[in-house]
Amino acid sequence: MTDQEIVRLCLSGDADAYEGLVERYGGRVYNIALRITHEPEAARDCAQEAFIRAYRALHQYDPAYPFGPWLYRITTNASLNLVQRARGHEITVDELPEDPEPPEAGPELSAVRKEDLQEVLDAMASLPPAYRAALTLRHMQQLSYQEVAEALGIPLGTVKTHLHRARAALKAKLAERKGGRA
Amino acid sequence: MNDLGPEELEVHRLLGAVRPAPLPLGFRDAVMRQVRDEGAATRWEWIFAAVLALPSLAYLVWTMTAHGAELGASLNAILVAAQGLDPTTGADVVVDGLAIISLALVGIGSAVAAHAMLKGAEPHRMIAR
Repeated sequence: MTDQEIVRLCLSGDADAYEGLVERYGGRVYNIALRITHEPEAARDCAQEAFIRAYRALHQYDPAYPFGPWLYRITTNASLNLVQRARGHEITVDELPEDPEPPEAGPELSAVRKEDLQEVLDAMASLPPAYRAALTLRHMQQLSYQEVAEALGIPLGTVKTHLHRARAALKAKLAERKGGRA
Repeated sequence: MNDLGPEELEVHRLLGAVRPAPLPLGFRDAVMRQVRDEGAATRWEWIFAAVLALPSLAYLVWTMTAHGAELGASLNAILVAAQGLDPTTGADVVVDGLAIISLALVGIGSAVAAHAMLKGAEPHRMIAR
């Protein structure tokens, strides 16, 4: 059964049909929330909230578009809102330098790849939430630029800029950590 | 995903290697429990709103059709008195208590219905740009 068919069933009053979407997208939604909030408890709450908000807004979903990016958008919003509420103030993308100090390119990153991936996740967690969201959707959930734009609700060009800066910031953080350990 | 540029390959491979965390136990059941509760609560809100508003609306419509002329005359008298055009005109208005109560019930019913509708509204986006 396609996502659109399940949505149609839900809208016709069959709430149980929604279980199919929770099963299909639960893992991805939870992992998006986890990478943005970096806390399992908070991620569970955000993922749950995202599914409930999506259920309430099903009548606003346009079946001409794929369901996933629409749901990821709700998830990203819920997660970013929670992070903002919890920390009061986060560094936004605008407050970051245009081009973070680039690390000494490839070899650094290749070396990190062989290490514990937890290091990567920790470096990612120290980035601003908007960067984490963009990196998660693009590189962990394998979405296209267009889908990331739809999920984040921002123009395609802005997504490319965000991702360029986010990747540079991640590389810089990893290089910084590597330098700190040496 | 075939729009991967060469400059993002390295980070893509790196982050792609991170294994997804397993879904917490009982997640699906927790969501579905809320979804079912949600549906029931919203349904009850609509029923409550309809029970409050529909009879009152019916009464108001009946009042308007039966005594619409009187109401029109009363409103006209109020307007004339307010404008001070005719000092001999009084502004006597007969207030129907039941109509006032009906209006209030329609208002409450509308508020409940609005709440049920707002529950379905998409959340406001707050993405840092």
